[in-house]
Amino acid sequence: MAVLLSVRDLTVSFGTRAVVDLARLDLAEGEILGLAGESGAGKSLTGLTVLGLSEYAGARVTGSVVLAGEELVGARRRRLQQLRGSTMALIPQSPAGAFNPVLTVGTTMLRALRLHGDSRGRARQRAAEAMAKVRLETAHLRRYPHQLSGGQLQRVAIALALALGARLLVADEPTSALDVTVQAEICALLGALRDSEGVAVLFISHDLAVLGALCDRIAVMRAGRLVEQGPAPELLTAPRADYTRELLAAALRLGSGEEEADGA
Amino acid sequence: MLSYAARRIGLSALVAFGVVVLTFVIARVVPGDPAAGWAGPRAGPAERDRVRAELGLDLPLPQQIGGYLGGVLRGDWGISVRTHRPVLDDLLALLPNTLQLVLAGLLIGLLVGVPAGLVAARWAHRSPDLLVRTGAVLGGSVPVFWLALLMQMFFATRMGLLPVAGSYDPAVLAANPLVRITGMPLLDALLTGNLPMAASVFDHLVLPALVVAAYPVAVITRLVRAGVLDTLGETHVQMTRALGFPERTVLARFALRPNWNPVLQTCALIFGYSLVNSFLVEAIFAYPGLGGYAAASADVVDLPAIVGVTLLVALLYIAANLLVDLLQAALDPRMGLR
Ligand SMILES: Nc1ncnc2c1ncn2[C@@H]1O[C@H](COP(=O)(O)OP(=O)(O)OP(=O)(O)O)[C@@H](O)[C@H]1O
Ligand SMILES: [Mg+2]
Repeated sequence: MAVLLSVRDLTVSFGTRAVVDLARLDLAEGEILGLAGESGAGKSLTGLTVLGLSEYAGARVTGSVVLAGEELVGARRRRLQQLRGSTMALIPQSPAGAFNPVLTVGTTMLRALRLHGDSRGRARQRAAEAMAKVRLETAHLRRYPHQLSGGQLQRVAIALALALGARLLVADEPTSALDVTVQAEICALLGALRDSEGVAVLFISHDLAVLGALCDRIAVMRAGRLVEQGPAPELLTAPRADYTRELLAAALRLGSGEEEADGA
Repeated sequence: MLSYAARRIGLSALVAFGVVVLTFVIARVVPGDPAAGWAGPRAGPAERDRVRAELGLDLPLPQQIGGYLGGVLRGDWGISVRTHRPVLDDLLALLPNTLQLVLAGLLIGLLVGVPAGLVAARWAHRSPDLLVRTGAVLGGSVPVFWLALLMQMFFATRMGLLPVAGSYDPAVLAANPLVRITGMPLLDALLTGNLPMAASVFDHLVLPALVVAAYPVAVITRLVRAGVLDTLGETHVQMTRALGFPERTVLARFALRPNWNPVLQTCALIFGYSLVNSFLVEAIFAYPGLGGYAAASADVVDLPAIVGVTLLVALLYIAANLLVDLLQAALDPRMGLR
């Protein structure tokens, strides 16, 4: 399948400290790529950098991020703003805090659609269609964030990305703030949308079980660098890097108390 | 929502009652004999006793307060000892002038403070921020009388740009009589299309309004800066950026929004502060308003007038807070269910 996102020699640094240093990372259209690694490995920063947002945190970026044939590093701010939302979107870690508390989620969605050029009527229609795709009632658009559950808000966030027509979803631990059953629902939804809509997902998580169940491929990061990447089943059953093995062992130790880590 | 409003209004009535009682007690314990003031310097003791009985001053305090409150509710706020006119008439004649001054100050406070706060938050810890913050510290700490005198000296006396004192040019009024609608001269002149008078009132309002505005500008700037900076750290702001909104929109339409409530709340506080502040400003600019009235009344221990001014200021303050509370409940969905 066609390459949607390709990252080459990407470094992200704060001051003189490089916290991300990625040699090569590709994501095809309609693919779900898991980005794993321990806390502080630089997963979130990688996601933010793809969205062109790490500069807002004061980071300096070098290298190359090409999205659908277009170089993003050093791109004009205006162009990045056009691409954000309409081509790539963020699915947040904590949906509860990801919506403006004094606006209905519909207001946020309509404003975003209008920003990217839809007429009022067209925006309404698209919002309704997108809500149907994530299996939420349109009436939920009139709710304020505090009137929706975490799972519902996460669905709204996904609907927002779909309504805008995003091809790439950067999902930064999108399920870590949700309880287990809701986690499974959101993962299933993302998998279904990959199949039906052909969206690609950069799925950031330190939970290898979740990644194994959902992702086509997994890349493992440590201290800002890629340790290894490969198709999900292989990487989980026959990891080549010691570090991946350590992560797996840790995950198994954690998971053994409850259920078996599936997909492995 | 309705029961919330009812509760707030009930509470406000209680506060107003407390203010009247307190003012009465304070006014009674300060030295000075209102009856003597009323009867004039040449009245003898018998005459004074007659006046005292006539004014109800010989009754016990609770009964006096009761009588006064009953009158207040009926619109009878007593007769001024100094002007010999109904206090309420005096107050209502002067209140619009003072309101015009205070509201102009508050409006300037919002029009300058909100954008300044946004600019400071947008470029936090960089030169625009430092500039704005320095201005805010100055505006909030400069003594009002000093600022007023400085403005008078510079803009009025030295540059001759604006009038030194007064609230309009009598010659302009004579040629263009003002129809009273709201009582606020600027608003009335604009509403009736009386442009010469509007211009004259505006010219006279600029300097005192700027002086009154110094504090609101400073407070609102700092509040907006701090609030927006706080909000900028929240996830939903990052989400807004991730949706492609330009930074200006992120700040002005998304990050500012949750901060309107604290700003409004502070506006009510500032309103009360400015009301009292304006008394001083009115004196310096010879601007006719409640300030001059209060000062003159205090001079001769004009009890009904003093109690009247105090009650009116308290009522205005209560009304402002009530208005803000209701606005807040309407603005912030999270407050609706209290
Ligand atoms: N604004 C910032 N200023 C300085 N350093 C930062 C900043 N944001 C992140 N870092 C550093 O970058 C590194 C990577 O952080 P990042 O948030 O990408 O980790 P992560 O892999 O997402 O971890 P987690 O699993 O805990 O979310 C960390 O060492 C962190 O200290
Ligand atoms: Mg992270």
